[in-house]
Amino acid sequence: MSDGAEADLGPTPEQELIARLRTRDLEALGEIYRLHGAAMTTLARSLLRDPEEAADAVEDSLLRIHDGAPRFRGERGLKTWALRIVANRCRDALRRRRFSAGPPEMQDPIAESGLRVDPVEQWDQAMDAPRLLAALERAIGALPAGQREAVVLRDRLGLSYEEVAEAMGASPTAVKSKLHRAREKLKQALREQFGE
Amino acid sequence: MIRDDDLSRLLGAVRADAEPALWTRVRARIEARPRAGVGGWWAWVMRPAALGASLAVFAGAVAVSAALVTTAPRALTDGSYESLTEALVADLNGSAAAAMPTPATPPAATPDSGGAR
Repeated sequence: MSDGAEADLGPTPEQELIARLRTRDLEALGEIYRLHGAAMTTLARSLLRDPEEAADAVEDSLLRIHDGAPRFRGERGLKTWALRIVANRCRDALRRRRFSAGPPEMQDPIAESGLRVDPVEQWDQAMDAPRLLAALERAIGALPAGQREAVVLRDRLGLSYEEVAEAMGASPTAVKSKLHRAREKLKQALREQFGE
Repeated sequence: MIRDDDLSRLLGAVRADAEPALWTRVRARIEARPRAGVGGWWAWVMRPAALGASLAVFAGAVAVSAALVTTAPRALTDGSYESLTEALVADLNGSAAAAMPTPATPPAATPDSGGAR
């Protein structure tokens, strides 16, 4: 009975959006940017830590989405697909950066990366959140690229383990392992700076 | 000091906003691209035009060649030589002979070599 009820619902708004995107509808691409542009920008800036390079990555990713849309079958969600494309583009940029000097040490890693801080819910006021956040951001920057990507996708953007695995092109087990190691390193970095 | 849930909340508190100007740039880039359908049709139409242009260039080249032959030096075209190579070699020999110095004449002293000073 529930199957029949689901069949009567027709295509979801996301399926309709995918169908429009496949016909290279520019308005559909604009809607994807309105819906997921903030997540795409957050991912690019968190991984690249350079707002201009991140803007280039998001711009190229939107072009890739537009070009690749006719081949997108929609088996994974639009958001995951879009973030996968951004992550791939950022990985290419980081690979190219190996041959350059890379960005200098940041005084304010959050603002200089083009990121902003929302109020931390139910935060213990005795803990100095701005200093913790800055130290955490530096520690994220020091993580290996794969661990950084996993932490940002899971903890910053709130994707499920399966979605992170899809976006990274890895298995959920590998993602869980990367996340565990990344969180341990982040906690260790904070302990070293602020004590137990 | 930092628990797992604190870490997750700190990580989740940092984000970025989408840039509206970026979408404007992307849209402009896509709209500036040539459309595949129009490009294919245009290419098909251009095939006879390209053939015609090639024929015109060929006809022009033939006309220029003919004009050059009719205005070439008479020795090259009046049948004195068997081939163009012979005519050119003879012409080259003539030029070389004219340029060679006469062996009987001693070389003249340099009028002002600076040695007399």
